Order: sequence, then structure tokens, then C-alpha cells
Amino acid sequence: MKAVEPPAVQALLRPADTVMRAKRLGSFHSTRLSFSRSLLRRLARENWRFTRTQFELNARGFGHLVYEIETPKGLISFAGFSNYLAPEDRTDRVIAEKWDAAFALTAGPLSEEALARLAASAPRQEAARFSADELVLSRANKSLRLFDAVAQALAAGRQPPLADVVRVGYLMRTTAVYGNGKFGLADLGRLWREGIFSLPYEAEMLMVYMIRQFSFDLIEHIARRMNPAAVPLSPATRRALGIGNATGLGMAPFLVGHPALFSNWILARETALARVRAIAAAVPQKQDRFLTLLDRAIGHVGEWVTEDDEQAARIDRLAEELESLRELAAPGGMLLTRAQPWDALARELEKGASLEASELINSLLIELYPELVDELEATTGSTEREAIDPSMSLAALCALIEQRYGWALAIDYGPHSAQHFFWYRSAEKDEPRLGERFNEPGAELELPIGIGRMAAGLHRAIAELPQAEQRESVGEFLLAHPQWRGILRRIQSLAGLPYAEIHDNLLGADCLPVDLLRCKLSIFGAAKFDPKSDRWTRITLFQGAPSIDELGRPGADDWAFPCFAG
Amino acid sequence: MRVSQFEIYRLIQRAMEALGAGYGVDRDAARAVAWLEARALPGLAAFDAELPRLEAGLPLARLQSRGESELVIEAGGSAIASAGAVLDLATTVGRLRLQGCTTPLFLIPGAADAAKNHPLSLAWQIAAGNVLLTFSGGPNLFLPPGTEVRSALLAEPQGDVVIERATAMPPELAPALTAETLAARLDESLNKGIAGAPALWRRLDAVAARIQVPASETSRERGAGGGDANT
Repeated sequence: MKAVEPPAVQALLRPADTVMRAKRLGSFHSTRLSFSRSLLRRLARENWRFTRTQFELNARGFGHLVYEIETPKGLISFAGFSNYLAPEDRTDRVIAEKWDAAFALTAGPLSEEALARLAASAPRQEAARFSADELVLSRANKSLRLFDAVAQALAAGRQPPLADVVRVGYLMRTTAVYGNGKFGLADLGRLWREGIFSLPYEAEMLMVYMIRQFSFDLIEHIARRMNPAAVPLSPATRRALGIGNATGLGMAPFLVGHPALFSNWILARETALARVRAIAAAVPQKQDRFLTLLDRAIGHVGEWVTEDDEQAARIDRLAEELESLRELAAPGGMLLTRAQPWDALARELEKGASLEASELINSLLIELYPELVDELEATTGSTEREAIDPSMSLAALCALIEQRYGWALAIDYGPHSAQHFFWYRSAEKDEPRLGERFNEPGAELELPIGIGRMAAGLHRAIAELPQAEQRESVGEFLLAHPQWRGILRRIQSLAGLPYAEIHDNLLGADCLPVDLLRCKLSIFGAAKFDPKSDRWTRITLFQGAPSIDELGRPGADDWAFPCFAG
Repeated sequence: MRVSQFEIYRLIQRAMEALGAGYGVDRDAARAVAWLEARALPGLAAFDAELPRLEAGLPLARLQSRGESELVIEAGGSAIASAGAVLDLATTVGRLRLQGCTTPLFLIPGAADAAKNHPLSLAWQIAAGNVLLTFSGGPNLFLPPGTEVRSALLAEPQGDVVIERATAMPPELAPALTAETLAARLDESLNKGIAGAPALWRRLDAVAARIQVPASETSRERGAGGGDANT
């Protein structure tokens, strides 16, 4: 149940035409409402218990380990399998077929029979079949930059150089985390029914968090086998290690295909921001906290490494802007002591700063007031049930399109550049891909991603109907014109959801899928975005997060924009 | 072979898309078949049986007549592609007669949804007698005593399917499936998955695969996760 915001807060909700532009979405940073953050708060709040019940790794680190996780709603198990991976089989692409490690999160305790079955099937991932007791499936590869070096350092009785650890950010990197019924896994309905997981991607985020723990256990084991006097990872080193992820195009169609869910994610974030912006004055404690967070963010940005020239330039500018802001925010200035300071700051940055800076500060503002915003994490789910109002007149439908899809009607879809791309499913592993309509075959099989073009097409189709048919109801229109059913239902169903649509032409030549990837990844809680092309990016999850033995300790939730230098 | 609701949904959505269904109709069909299978009702078998006719072209339902209290629609064959549109209209009138419908089974999931806000029932006739679905507290199926559920639901109707707000219970019918039974079946399929027939699955998968685009060198080069470095 969503709370009704006071008028002062509602007035500060940013319009969709500002928020839902691909460029801005592609500049989002994680917030305390991001799924990795909300998951760890829940684990701590509900005192989830993690017990390693099996640890069967050989001298080279191959074998398996099992954790049992006690939750208030029942027990789940995590199984990790470490296997030899030949150098020629090592690839970062989603189309890989072998990995260093494979993982499964399962309902209830893991029987020996189930463990044996998973030991055979989990390493095969998409090529295998799973059961409804398996909730999430994943795999990961070791970081060649870091894994062996860290093992050797630990074996030598010392911690690895923190700078190296921070620069890479992880010992292992995933390339896929599967849930929701894929390959026979449990359907989402089972997760919701049992109540262990209640928020979007909670199970998947727990999987990633447990892979991080697996990477710690694995490397400490290998180091001990190299030298029984090896030291374990220090708390500081652990904090600096997250889990890497390489993400491709698949996330972009998800955002388009789940508009109600997407709107709720953005609405939670924007409501949090509006609540903070509505605050009349910043008490000294909050001013101090802002400066602390700003200093940490400056350090974090300084540790953000990418080889991508464009992202590097954005980071450089961001660093300069944050330094300038730090000077302006110094005690004695007016920046934080004026009336409604957070609103003023957000407005100024939205007007004059880069999108990176504007959105990073928005994330910081949300971080400042957990007491105002944390409850919003409960609003990020959606039943995603769409329905048609068959009684609506076509005239009313056209008015609705004009009101909600004005951005789409304003685009001229005639030029080739406006239809440059088409999205499709590849025959190779069934993954979403992006083709160039006028250079590659397959456009006739495109996915329904061009929402703007479809909305405009429906509007035009109605306008071109004979007068008599224009007086029909939506129900009668759809009986005769079923090709419009999906977009029409979408338009009607999303009428009350402000942030459901991306206000850009996703087929246009200037579309950068990596913007949409970054948006979704930021909502997951990703950081250190490192684009490898306009279609895929590397990121780090859970860097700075507490380990399972630190959950619930004072300050454990304070890991936004972690900085490890000094 | 055990499959998930998601897999059934995806299979049918893609198969329907391959058969020419547009965005929306494909998803309605997929949801209908997954809904049925999750309750151990023969959605996949019905779809498989319809496939040869669907391959020849998806039927387009047409409005035949509109009266004050009754709509008449010609289904033109399977309801798989038109169930959504038919049920939309059924909620706007007291009674809707659907002519020429070969698979009223596909109307049940949408009717169960629609019935949450608009009281309605589904009725048709088969050789064994009347078939009636009411939706009080969920779907409830009534059949002539002794009639086997699966064959009754797969049988082609003799005459029109009638969707109306209120239906008098014919005295000769007996409860064949209750809402409670179907809810228990849904729980069971969430716990254990859904039994899938491999040969049928392969047939439908071959249809679904038609919507995939073969990998070109360009797409391989520039597709998702295009890098090979594993550093």
C-alpha cells in the first residue's frame, strides 16, 4: 500500500519528462533503496543466520560448500561448486559454457541426493534442468587480475595491497543470475507465497551476496593449502571486495517489458528524493552528515576506474564538480543553512551540473534521511497486472495518449535514423540482441521495444478510422484490430504510473543501451560502472558491504559510496 | 520432465508470435495456457491440438450483432487469439454468445480474472451434456455426473458458448472441480513444477524457435557481453 504524500512532497516529485530520459537514467547511482542495501538491512533486522554446513574443497580449491540460511519464514540453502576451468574455456560472455564456479540457492535443507544432482547440473547452467526447489542459479569466474595475487599474499602472511583490491573490486565476477522459473527453477509465485522473499530481486541479490562469501571462503582455503600459516582476509580487505558482474543487453528489454515494476522502482526513489527536498531546514547533525558523505563520495569517485574514454571524462568532470561543491558546502557558508537547502541544491545541480553530479548528489540526499525514506523499499514491488477498460471511448483513449505519450507523438519515425535499431532474440542462447534495421536481417522478428513508435502508431490508426468506427469503444476496436492489444492495454494500465515509460526512442540511432543497463544496475545497487561498449558494462556489487558476520553491527548499513583510501 | 509456469508462458508467447499473433494477444494466450497448466488443466494439449489449424492462420473474431443486452461474436475457430477481446466485451453486456468457438477452455483463465470485478459465468454444451463454469470465490466447474474433466474440457462445443452475468444452475450438473481444488493444484505445481510431455514440448518449441534471429557475425561481435577478457 503506497502512502499518499503530502502536497508539499508531491509538488517536488520530478516530472517524468525530466527523470525518464535515457541519458539521465544512464547517470543514476545506487541509493539506500537499492536492492543490495535493502536486502542487507532485512538480513540484519530479521537476524538471518548463516551456518556453513559443508566445506569439501580439495587442495586446489575444487569441490563444494554449503551454507544453511535460517530466516524467520523458513530455511534456505546456498550451494557453491568450484571446478577446474581450462584457459581456452574462459570467456566473459553470456554465451560461455563453462565457469570457475556455479551456485544454487534452494528452498529448505539440501539433501545429499539434491546436492549430488546440483553438483552435476549447476556447473552446466543453461544446458541443465533444475527443480522447483531451486530458487536461483548463478555462475562466476575468478578475476585473473586479482584472485591468484590475493591468494599468494594471504599465503605469504600478509594482506594484498589495498589499492589493487580496490581497483579491481572483486575476486569473482558473475555473468548471469537466473531465477523465476528459468530452466525449471522455482516460479516467482513460490518465492512470494512462502514469504522468505518479498521484494523484487531479493533472492537474486542474496545469491550475489553469498557468492561474495563463497569467494572469501575459497580464497582463504586456497591460501591455507599453499601455506598453513596463511592469514585470513582482514575485515578491511573483505569490505573492499564485492562481486563483479558483466551485464549485457538483456536488462534493457526487461525495463520496457515490466513498466509497472519499473515505475515503482523509480517512484520509490523519486518520492524519497522529494521527501528530503521538502525539508525546511537542515539541522547541524544532518549538515555534518552531508559533508561526511560528500567527502566519502569524492574519495569513491577517485577510486572509480574505467578504460572507457567517455565514462572517464564524465568521472573527471564529476570529481571536479564534487570538489567545487565541497568548497561551497564548507561550514560558514550558506549552502546548507538556507531555507529548504536540499531542494535548492538539487535544483541548482539539475540546472547547472552534469547529470552524473546531479544524480550522485540526489543519491546522497536520500542517504541522509533513512528515517524518511527506508519505508519506501516496501513499495518497489508490483503485481504487474494489466487490464483493459473496454468501455473507454476511442476519443478518450486518444486524449490519454496525447496526455501521457506526448513525447512519443513528437518523434518523427519516418527517417531511417529514427528506426535505426531493432531488438531481437538471438538463436544463440536466446539472448536479446540489437540489430541495425537497414544493415542486418531479422527486423521482421523484432521485439516490442519501440513503445513510442507503437503508441504513436495506435494514435494514428485511430485517427485514420472511418468516422463511424471512431465512435466505437476500445472493446469493439480491439476485437477488430487485435494487433493493437498490447500497446493499448499498456497505455490504459499505466495511466496512473508516472515513471513507467522511458521518454526516448529506443529504436533511434542515438539510443545507447548502456544507459538503460546502468539504470537497472543502479537500482540493484551496482557501482563502479565500467562500460565496455555501448551495449555492455562491468560493475561491482556489494563493495563496501558488511560480511555475514558483521550484519547488524552498529554502522553496518553505512556503506554508500565506499571509499577505501586512507 | 518438469517445467515451470514461466517456461510454459514463454513457450506459448513465442509460439503465438511465430504464428502471427501481435504484441498483447501473444501474452494473453501464454498466460492462459500457463494458468491452465498450473492447475493441471490441459492447456498445452489443447494448444497442440489446435496447432495445425493455427498454422493456417489465427482466427479473427468478428462482431455479429449488438443488442441491448446481448452481443453475438463469431469466433471463427480457436479462442486462443480472441479470448481476451471476447471477455473484455463480455464485461460490458449482460450476455455474450460466442459462435464457432472450438476451444472454450482458453476462455477460462481470462474469465477467472474478469470475474473478480464482473460477475459472470461460462456455459456450453458437449456430447455428454452441459458444461458450466461459475467464478464465486474462484473457478468452479460443473459437469454431468461421471464426466471426465479433461475430455470434457478438450471436447469441441456443440453450439454457442454463452458468457453471462448470472446463470441458473442446470439441475443435472454436479461439481467437477472447485476453486479449492484448483488452488491446491496451483500450490502443488509451485512446489513440484508442472509435468511436461517431451514430444509435445519439442513440437511447440520448434514453432517458438521461428522468432529467433540467427546470429550474424556482426551480432556476435557486438552482442551482449561482447568482450572476451576475463580480468
